[in-house]
Amino acid sequence: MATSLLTRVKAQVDLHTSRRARGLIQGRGRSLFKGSGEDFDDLKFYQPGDKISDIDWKATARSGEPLIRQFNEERVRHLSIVADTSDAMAATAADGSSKRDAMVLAAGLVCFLAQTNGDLVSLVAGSPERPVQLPSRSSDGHLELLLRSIQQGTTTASPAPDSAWLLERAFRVTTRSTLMTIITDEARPSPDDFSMLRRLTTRHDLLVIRIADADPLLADDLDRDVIDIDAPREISELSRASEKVLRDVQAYRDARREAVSGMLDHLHVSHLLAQGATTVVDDMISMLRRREYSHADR
Amino acid sequence: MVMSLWWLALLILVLALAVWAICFWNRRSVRRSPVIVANSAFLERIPSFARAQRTARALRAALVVLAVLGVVGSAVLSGRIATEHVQTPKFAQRDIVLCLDISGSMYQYDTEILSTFAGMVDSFDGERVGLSVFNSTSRTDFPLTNDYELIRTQLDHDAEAIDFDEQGYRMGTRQYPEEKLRMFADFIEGTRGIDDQASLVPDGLAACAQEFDQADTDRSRSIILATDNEVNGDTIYTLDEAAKTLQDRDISLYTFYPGASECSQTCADELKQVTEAHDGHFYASSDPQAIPSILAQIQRTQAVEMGATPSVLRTDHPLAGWLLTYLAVLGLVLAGWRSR
Repeated sequence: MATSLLTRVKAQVDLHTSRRARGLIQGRGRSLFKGSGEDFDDLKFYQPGDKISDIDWKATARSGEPLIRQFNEERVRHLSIVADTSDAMAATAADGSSKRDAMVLAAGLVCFLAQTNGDLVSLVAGSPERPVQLPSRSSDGHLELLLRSIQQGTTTASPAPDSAWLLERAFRVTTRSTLMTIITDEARPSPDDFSMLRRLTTRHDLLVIRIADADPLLADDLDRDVIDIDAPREISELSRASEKVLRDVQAYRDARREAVSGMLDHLHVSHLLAQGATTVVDDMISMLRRREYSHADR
Repeated sequence: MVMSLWWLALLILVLALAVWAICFWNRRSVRRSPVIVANSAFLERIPSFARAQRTARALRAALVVLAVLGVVGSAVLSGRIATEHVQTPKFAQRDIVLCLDISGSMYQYDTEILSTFAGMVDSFDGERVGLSVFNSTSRTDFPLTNDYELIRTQLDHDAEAIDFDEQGYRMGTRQYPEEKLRMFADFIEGTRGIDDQASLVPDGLAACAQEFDQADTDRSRSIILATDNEVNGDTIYTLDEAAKTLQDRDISLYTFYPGASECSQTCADELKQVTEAHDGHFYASSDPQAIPSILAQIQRTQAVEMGATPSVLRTDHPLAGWLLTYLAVLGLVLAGWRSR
């Protein structure tokens, strides 16, 4: 097999974050996903299989035996990813990249940060006909499987998006309180999902990452056809080149985005709208930084 | 309406079809790979988009229709649509006298000749027609005239009047209404001037020759004589003399002999011999149905005699094709420019 997905995502994340993110992921207490704090419990002898990074070197130096720090159970945080693996996510993003790649990158960043912290990550994805669900695990293999499930589950042959089902499913199967990252596109979660989202916020800490869609008119590249994944139909050049149509379409899309953003703001859910694979990592890091400050303020 | 360069028109149509087929099969390969987008179902709900799509569809349909019209128009134009009419220049100066023997044995043939001639009047243009009937004496039914309305009504009327089986009526085997009797009586009025004589063919023919007027003008003159030549009485002229009179006056004689009769072969032979001796033409048929074709033959013979070789006149009609092509191309340019 080629390079693992996680490694590739990591490389991408490194490339994008470089120095900026280094501080964010150094040390437990300064984790991006700031939890309940450093609930140090006990020291215990190192057992094969424990993480090398958990070794408390100072204590080891004092005692002469490798000791690792033991934390409270709640210290191990649970992350969950709710990925929209519908066919809509296999389409093109606003920056011309694939929305799926952007989604894998976003999920990869979550996994990457979880890996550095030893957090557990679970996945909810799929469709009513073929639900996908992965339990909370932290191993590299698990994270790799998780990313692959997202990547391979999102094809143009996937069913049409059903955000109501996905959120309901996420609520039902994720019983433990988690930091939940929902990855979908600009049109979702729709304002119809408001009550479901509110129920989710009662149990989970929500992050919503939305990938913007490509312009359905593609007015600057009339040589290429535009095909809607769910409603394939011919869009005439006349419609695509018309200034008025362009304005009206833009207005509609802005209104739709605003409606979703407004709903999420109302629910006090952190959210972002990324243009695609080129910006999603940067956008996520900015958002997480903002979150960190706001948490610190509390 | 004929199309002289029909193969060119066909070629243009086939070529257009071939070009269309090639374009049709390759229509997708011109475009680059499509961009797949999502969440664009809302487009249909945007009025300006729906309107633009409708306009584009209408324009495309218009383009197709205009292209088809343009191709058809140019094909028609290249095919050179023209009307052809056969013109025999000298025919307009013909004088024709129908010279009918209306003795009892001839009535079927006379009916056929008259009704066929009535049908031919439509194609006349300048010709003059006259009708003279004879039995023992001769009567001019109508003189030479180019009043075709009169000719037609008169011929139709006469054709009906002469359709009368006199012998059958006398023997009581045929019954006719009063009206029909009067029509027949009116028609034969004046043709039985000499009692106990009938079918004085040479005198009748000579009388027909008197029909021609305008002796000083250069006109073609012909007599169509229909008779069984069953002379029953004393004639002033002999048949040969009568025919000679015609020849002297430069009148062509076309004789129709209706086949077997009582005097049979001798009468036929005499008629044929005399006719042909004076540069006439002799036709014989016992079938009244053959008369239209015989009259057509007479027409042709006459044309040859007059040296009027029928020439085909072609008149091109480019206006419709030109207009169609011009408007279609104009429309194509406009619609194509609009859909840019």
